[in-house]
Amino acid sequence: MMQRLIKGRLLAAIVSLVLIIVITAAPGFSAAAEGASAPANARTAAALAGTLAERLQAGQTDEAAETFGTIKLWWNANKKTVKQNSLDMSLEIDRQIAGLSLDFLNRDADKAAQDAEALRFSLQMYADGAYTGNDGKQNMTLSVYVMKLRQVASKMRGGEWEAARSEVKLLQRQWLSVEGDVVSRSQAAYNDAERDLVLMDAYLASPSRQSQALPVAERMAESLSGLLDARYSWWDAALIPLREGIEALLVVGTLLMYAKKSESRTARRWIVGGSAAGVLLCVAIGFAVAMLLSAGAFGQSNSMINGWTGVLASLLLLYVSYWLHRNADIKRWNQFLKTKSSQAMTSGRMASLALLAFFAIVREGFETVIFLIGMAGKMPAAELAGGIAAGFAILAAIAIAMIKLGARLPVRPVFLVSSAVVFYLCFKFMGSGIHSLQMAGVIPSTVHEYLPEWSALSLYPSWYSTLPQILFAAAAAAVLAGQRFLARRRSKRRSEAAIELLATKTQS
Amino acid sequence: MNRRMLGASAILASILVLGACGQSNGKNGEHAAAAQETSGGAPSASASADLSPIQENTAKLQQLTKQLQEAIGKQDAEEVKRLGQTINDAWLAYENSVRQTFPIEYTEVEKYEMPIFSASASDTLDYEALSANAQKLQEALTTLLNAKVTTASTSELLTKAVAQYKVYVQEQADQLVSSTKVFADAVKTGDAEKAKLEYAKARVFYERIEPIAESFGDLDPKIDARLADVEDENEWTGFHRIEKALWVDGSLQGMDSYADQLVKDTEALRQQISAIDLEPKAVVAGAMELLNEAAISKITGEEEIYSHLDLVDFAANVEGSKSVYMAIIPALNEKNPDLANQLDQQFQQLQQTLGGHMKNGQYVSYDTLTTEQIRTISDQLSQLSNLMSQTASIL
Repeated sequence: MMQRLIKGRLLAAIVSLVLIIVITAAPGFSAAAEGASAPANARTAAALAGTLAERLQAGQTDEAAETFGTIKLWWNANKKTVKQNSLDMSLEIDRQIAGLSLDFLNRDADKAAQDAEALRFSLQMYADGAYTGNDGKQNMTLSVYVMKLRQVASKMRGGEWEAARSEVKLLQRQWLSVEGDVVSRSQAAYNDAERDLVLMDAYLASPSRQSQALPVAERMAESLSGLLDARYSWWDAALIPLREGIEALLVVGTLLMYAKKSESRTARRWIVGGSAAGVLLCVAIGFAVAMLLSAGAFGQSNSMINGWTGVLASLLLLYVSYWLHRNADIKRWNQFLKTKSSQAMTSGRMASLALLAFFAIVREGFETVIFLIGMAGKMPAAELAGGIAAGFAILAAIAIAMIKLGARLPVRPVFLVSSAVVFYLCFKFMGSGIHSLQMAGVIPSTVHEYLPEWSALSLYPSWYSTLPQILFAAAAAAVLAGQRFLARRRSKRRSEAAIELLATKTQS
Repeated sequence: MNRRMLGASAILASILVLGACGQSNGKNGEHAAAAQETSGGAPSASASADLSPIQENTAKLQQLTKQLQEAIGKQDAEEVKRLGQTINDAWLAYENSVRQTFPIEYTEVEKYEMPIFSASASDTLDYEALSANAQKLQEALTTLLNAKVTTASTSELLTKAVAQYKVYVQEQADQLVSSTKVFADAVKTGDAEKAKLEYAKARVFYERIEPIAESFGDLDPKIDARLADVEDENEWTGFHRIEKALWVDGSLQGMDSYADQLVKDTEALRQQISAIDLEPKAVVAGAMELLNEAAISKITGEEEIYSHLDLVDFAANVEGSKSVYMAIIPALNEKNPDLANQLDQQFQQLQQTLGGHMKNGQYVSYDTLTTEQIRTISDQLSQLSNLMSQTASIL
């Protein structure tokens, strides 16, 4: 017992050490990235392009030509620097300025106004560091994200549905770069945004409902812009592991509790092994993604991992939930302990326990690491490390309490309650897993407004996610009903027997 | 025991997760493979079918070129012009199939055929240059006649394209240095008329490789800055400084030092270029940048505000862009043969329009162009830019 505790503590210490190293190393990296970014006057140039667009819209052609002259001079002087930062960005700006030159030459004020707006946008992106540099890195901020969202909304207003749709796809991919900022400020805004991203795509895909996408884009921009300029405290950092980890903890905790009740040390080892593999993989990949790749580039893969692990975990959980429920019967449990001693458990079942723990952790794990690294540049390192430590400490306390309490309480209520909890998670994982796969583009995004929507249960208004959930609920109801029926028959038989017995007694 | 199980479970689980993320890559990979198969299949099929017509046409073209060489020898202006036109027609009739089957040989023929055709449209003939070009064309045609179909991967093709383009850039840099020397000498001897002529010649070599030149520290502003680009007029040097002296001040006084500096700067540029390491991405981007340059400062008349030689620079930008296009034709054939056809047509159209603005082998002054003419040029440039922007897809 003592030895096991020490082992557990060692593991926790190693994990938190790795995390702290990751976190404290991060600000240095992000500072270096900022050092190589846009020249200070890019923002001024973006403002000039804004003025240009306004003047063109107001029909002030001469003033506009003057402004454009200034922009050209700026570009001539700064093109080389931009090119050194990002060849792609420099080509984009260069092309827009070339296009504007021709618009002016041909006195096409309308097209010039449009092109000026596009130029302003590109310059703003550049000034905000939201571009892929020559080193392949990107530096996206929430404010740029909101701006891009507004840009998409204005495209929708102009009826450019195709353009808007491709922009929305891009926003789905870039979501991972900013979602950490969002979730650490408001879970509700985060849930809404994830739903709205899928909704917008679904609306834009069907010609008859395109116009419904605009209010969605507007409310999403509104909701996210409320989070701009947010400041972080240690509690925000603590909330991330809590929010992201509580579900994984419930799964792993239930499995460990089961291992303890069945007195199977091998099962326990498999569960701990699966969890540790999950944690290590998350830290390693999360770290690699945040440092080496841009989070935006990884966005689609993340949705994919999130989605598949969610769906697979959900299927495994469905079985676990059924199994827990079945064994809640004390007689069955005792029989189970007798016939299936820990040695007799098949290695297949052992591996599935490890796999389940692994999936439960990996499902949200990458995101957690990327979120935490994302916060690193925005608050003091000590405060952040303290917050993370606090978050994990609370998680650990819940886990210990759960296992201790589970060990003391009788089998039946513990198994019934955990079976319900596990079913809830299974239901939720399926919904959110399918939703993530929709984000990743594996499953088509559809919207059916008559379907209920409730993020706490991962209920989304799409048949793709709702149908499997309904099937789960139906299966659970069938099992419950079946058992009740059996129990009633058994008790009926028992009472019939009692009546017979009574009858024979009275007869005699 | 414990450790082995931990390891096994970790490996099993990570295989599953990696499988999930590999899903998308797998799909893309299949798609790319399928695309390659179809695009790879087409040229080889057409190659065997078109091989003999190409040889037939090439033999005919060699015949015509031989006649041209004879006419050049006799200095028969009318016959030279007639044959220049005929050769061009004969070449246009089958150049598309050559481009698709033998892109490298195509580029060589195109390089010497173009000047012969433009000479046929000019009023004065430079027999020496024509003779050299006709000889080179004959050699290029012989190579084409004996060409074999090659198969190479896109990355190999791109590496070759970069090497080919680098040779071009070096040639232009060399010619820039020698022509700038001639220009500088004319400036220093005070021969304004000759200096004006040489100015126009030297500008061409700079404008053709402008994006490359721009990448070297402060050499571009030193050589090519306009008055509007400099903060302090006293620090203004380069071509445009002397341009002002020639066309506005009407005096070459004090220009000696600027001329010497310009020669030094172009030599430094050549030095830098010889050591440059080009990337396919930068080369392809350069084709686009050159067209952007043409739109931003040339067709607007802002580049040569004193001499109004903007069309010279414009044409040079387009030529520079075309040479990138020529270098990447093999890669384009592999990925998007249709784009190569369209680009070819668009370049031809634009260069034909530009050719219509020549007088005595010189481009007319920008300020003599009508609004309508400028509009036509800028529309064609804009179409060409739209096509060129798609070339990034071959990377």
